[in-house]
Amino acid sequence: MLSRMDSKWSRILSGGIVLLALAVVVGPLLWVVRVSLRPVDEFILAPTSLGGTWTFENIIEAVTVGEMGFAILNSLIVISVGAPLAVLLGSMSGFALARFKFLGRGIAAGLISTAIFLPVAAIVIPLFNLALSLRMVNSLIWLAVIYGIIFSSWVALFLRSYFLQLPTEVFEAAQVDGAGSIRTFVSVALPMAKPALATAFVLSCFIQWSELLIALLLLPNGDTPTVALGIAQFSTQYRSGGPQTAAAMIVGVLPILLIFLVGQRWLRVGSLAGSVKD
Amino acid sequence: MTSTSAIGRGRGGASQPSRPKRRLEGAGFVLPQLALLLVFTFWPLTQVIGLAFTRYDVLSSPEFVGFANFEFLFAWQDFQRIILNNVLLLLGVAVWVAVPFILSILIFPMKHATLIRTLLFIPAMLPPITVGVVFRIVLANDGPINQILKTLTFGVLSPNWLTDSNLVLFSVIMVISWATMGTGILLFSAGLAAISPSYVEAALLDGANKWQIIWHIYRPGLSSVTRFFTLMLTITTLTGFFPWIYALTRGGPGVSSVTLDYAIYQTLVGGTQLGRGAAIAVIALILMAFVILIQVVMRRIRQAEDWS
Repeated sequence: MLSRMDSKWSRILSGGIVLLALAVVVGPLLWVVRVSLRPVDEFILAPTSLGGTWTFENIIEAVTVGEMGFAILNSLIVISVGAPLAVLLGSMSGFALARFKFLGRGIAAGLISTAIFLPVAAIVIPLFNLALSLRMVNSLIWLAVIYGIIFSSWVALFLRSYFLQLPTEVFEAAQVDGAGSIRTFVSVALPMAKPALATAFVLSCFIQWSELLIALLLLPNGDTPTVALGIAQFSTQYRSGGPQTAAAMIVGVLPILLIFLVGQRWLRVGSLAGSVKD
Repeated sequence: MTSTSAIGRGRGGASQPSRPKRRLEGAGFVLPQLALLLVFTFWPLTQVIGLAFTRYDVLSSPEFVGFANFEFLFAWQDFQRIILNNVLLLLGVAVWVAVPFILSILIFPMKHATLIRTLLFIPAMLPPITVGVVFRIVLANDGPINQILKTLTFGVLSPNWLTDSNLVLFSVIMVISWATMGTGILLFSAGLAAISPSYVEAALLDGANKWQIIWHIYRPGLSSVTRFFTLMLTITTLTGFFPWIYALTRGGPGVSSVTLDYAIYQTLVGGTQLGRGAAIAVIALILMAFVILIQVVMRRIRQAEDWS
């Protein structure tokens, strides 16, 4: 396409820009990996040196002493409740908004879209009070349920746009065969929406793995930290951000990278753009 | 719970596909999410709006004070800076959109496009708190970036990226550009793939140059992606900055990188000015409504003029 008319110089220029972008993106990551594998005393003496000893000490320490292993377990508990909940709620709404005409559909769609735009920071005070009155402060499962609900609204709009793309004939055929709406949803709509469901699930895992503000407020005693809390604690303890922080971060990020890797072949992140209509 | 009864109603509708019941059928599918959102987002929202007009701390119950919280905030110099911070970060949206727009066009015809895009997508898979940690290390005063700059400029240039109050917002914008670029490239590349090559071929035959093609074919062709990404990032500047700021600067130095959501968090941690925190939340909500209003108006104008 575009390359055909490119002169040699403009090709060199665009190649240079892309190489620079690659260096800017990959460079800091490689640097942090290297820092995490340096002994602490060597890092303090020469923070910008690349040479010296290689050690897994910080990584092991992050998992054991630094409780990152425990934090990973906690975050896995959170996403194994929260992500399916978000996908379940979102897929049901998305299906109804795409396939049914019902009383109050416009209001439902409006409220769900509004929920996407609401700043989490704006509702944390009442959410904390609610957890307090239900004695759910410091409960991982409660945190997961909250995540599953408040991060479900984008899933609904995303899946709605996916269900709208599916051919109507399939649903009509199911109806002719006598399938009720629940049957149609479970046996027709969901199987056809696998790529979208996988995308919604992986991104839900990512969002809930990363969330910090609600976790800070709903898990205040620090006994059951999520990964985001664990990394935050590390960066508070070692303000300078040395090898220990780097190691904790790498350990904490590996599981979610793994989830992306496994889910990658079903991911359709590009289709997200289609979910907001204009 | 309400949700189970709603599904039950839906099932009833399925066995007898008469019209009024069909109406309830769809409602049954939406009801679980809607009910839970009402309880866990919209009800808290009304609470916050109420609390914004009270003096309130963790030990005492809320006491109505009228507009006192708002009057305090607007007279408070630090708060003016916080609003300014959000406005300045909003300017970052132009950078965050333009960089992946250009890069995706440059990468698109390349031989190893997929590999390049995969590598550039790595930051998008890192939680913001992690990105903060990475750049706390990389942008440290004695970190590698400053080492490189010092060597290149013979020791003259060694800025305090995260501790200089004039520089910190610039650093935050750059870091977030790093973090969001991969997503942008992915979205724009999907958009580019959807543009028919025949448009470009025809333009080339007509002797169009590269810039004309970018401006007259790619820009309008990608306009829906651009609008989606812009809206997404604009919302992030008002709602989702907390983890980045928390990890990178803790709002410092002073209040020079405090955003609205970070300011709410600060009042919560203090625990004595929750009413004030609620008032900040209400101001954030008003700004958000304003942004969405602008978006809606722009859409109307576009539809009216058929302008892309």
